[in-house]
Amino acid sequence: MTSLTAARVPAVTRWQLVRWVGLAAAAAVAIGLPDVLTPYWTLIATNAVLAFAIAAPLNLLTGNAGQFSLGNAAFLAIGAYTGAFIALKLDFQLPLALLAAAAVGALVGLVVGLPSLRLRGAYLLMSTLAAHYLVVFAAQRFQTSQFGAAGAIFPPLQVGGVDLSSDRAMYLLILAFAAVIGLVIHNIMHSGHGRALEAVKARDVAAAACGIRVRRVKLVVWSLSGAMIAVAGVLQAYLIGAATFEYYTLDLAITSVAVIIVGGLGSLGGSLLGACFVTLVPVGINRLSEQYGGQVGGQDQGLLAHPLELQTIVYGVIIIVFVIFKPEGLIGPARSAGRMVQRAVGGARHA
Amino acid sequence: MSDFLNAVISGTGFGSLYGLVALGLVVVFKSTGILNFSAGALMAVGGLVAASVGHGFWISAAVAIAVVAAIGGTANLVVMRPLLGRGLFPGVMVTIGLASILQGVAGIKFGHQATFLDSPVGQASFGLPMHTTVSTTLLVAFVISVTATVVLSVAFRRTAVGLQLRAAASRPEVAAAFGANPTWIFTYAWAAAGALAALAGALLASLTVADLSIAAFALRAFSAMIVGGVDSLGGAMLGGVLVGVIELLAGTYLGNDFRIPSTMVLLMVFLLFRPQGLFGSPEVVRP
Repeated sequence: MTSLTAARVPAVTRWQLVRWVGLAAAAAVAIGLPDVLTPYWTLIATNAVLAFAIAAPLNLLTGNAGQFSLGNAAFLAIGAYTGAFIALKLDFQLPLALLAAAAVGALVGLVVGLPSLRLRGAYLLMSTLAAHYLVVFAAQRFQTSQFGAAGAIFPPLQVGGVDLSSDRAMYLLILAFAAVIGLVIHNIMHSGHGRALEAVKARDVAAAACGIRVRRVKLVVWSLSGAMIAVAGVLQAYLIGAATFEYYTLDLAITSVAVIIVGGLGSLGGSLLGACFVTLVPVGINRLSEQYGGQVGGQDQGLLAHPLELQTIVYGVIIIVFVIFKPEGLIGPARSAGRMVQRAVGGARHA
Repeated sequence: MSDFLNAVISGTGFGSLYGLVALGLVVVFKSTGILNFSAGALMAVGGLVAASVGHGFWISAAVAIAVVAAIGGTANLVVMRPLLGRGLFPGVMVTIGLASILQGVAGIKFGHQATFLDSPVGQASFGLPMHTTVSTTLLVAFVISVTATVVLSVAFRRTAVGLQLRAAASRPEVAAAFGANPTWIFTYAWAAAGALAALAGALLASLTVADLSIAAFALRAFSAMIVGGVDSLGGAMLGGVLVGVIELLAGTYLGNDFRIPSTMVLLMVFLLFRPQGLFGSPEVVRP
């Protein structure tokens, strides 16, 4: 798009300007959020950002490359326990814990991705299911041998003597991480690698005939998404304050799949919208339940007296409704709105 | 030696229950191409409904089977039908959503207190040579499961609905052109899957307790389905038994922590080295 000589750089269109200003404004709002929110809402915002950082790599793997995986909770566990070992047992700082988690995550991602070279569809999904339980089992053994039954307890986060354990610092740290993840995935999607992923999803035999090294592409995307989710797992463990193997359930893995379904498969913006939506729904239900649900004289006041079950039900309904009626996810309407703005300000995307 | 035999006997009994659920998975997967992740929730609802009826095992189980079969059939008509031909991902996600709804509703309706269901024959066991014991409930469960497999296999081969189901599974358009109505046929398949899951759930409830945790057993059914071969009914039952035996052997000799991992290792071994399972036909990949 941009050429090498400055003289031939196309003029910035008004639409590009709007995009850049919009992005800058969004970044400013995101950074400023903890200054205006209460600690409760800051934590929710942190959870939403973290959900994005976990779902975006999964979306790259599932949405762009077409590799349906239920293994993401396992990668969170790998990150959490690798981080725990490096930071708590070996007493290294956070950056090294993150690097180690990325390395182990990439390695396990490679191994979990190996069956994708032979298996497809339901068989491949089953292999990620088996991988999930085997990794969580390994995490259980590791936890028992290294940390005891209570799990790995993370101390308040400090890096180089600076305390990062406040709500605001945790939010900003996770936001920075999510921004890096988003940037990396954006660049992959808009490069030849991204198109190779789409080709592998559409038809791997044809992709191979076009000169795409399908096996390599598959293994790289499994490995990369494994590494990114593992790093997110370290931050998640610090946010929760502990790593216990009971936390890493299949339901946790499914939550991230729900995020990318609701947001939109194969779309970075979709991962973000989905993460916000899936994080906010239970919060909303809890609010409703607190206000209107309570039990009066031991009598149930309908559905709202059961916030947990109601969350489960609403969650199921949301998944079904999006899959059947809005398979393109929330990003579909968001894109239409974007195009309307584009038409309003004028200027084609590529001048 | 008696440890070994006891594990094999109990594993066969429990495994036949996994096989029942796997049968339901196979029927739905073969006919509609949907991998049913709601099987566990259907089992749990079956067990809970049976335990709440309270008229002895047989009547309770019959009620549970009717209720869950109706749930399965309705689910097909309402949420599964729009998914036909849309590939693996939507089907898996919608069945996960269905499971979520069922668990939420069951949680409200039945609470989270574990309840109990009478055993079909009373909680007795009898001894065999070499210090082995057989629980009569487990024996009855095994007999019922094998009978259900045989009945279903015969129904598939010999009845008109069975024939239509197989036809609709292999070529839906052609089957429809010859007068089979895929919508109803797939509804029967889902109802059968619900009935099988409810039967397994009721039997498990009478062997252990009735609560939502029964849903976790469905995991072994997935393993059983792959081990047996995704398009073989007898294979699903045999796969279930194999999974059950391996699980209990691992539990006996390695510890209870190893029960689920052992079934997952078995699943992984089959996926990597024999994805068509023991009796399935190899998947033909059309480039």
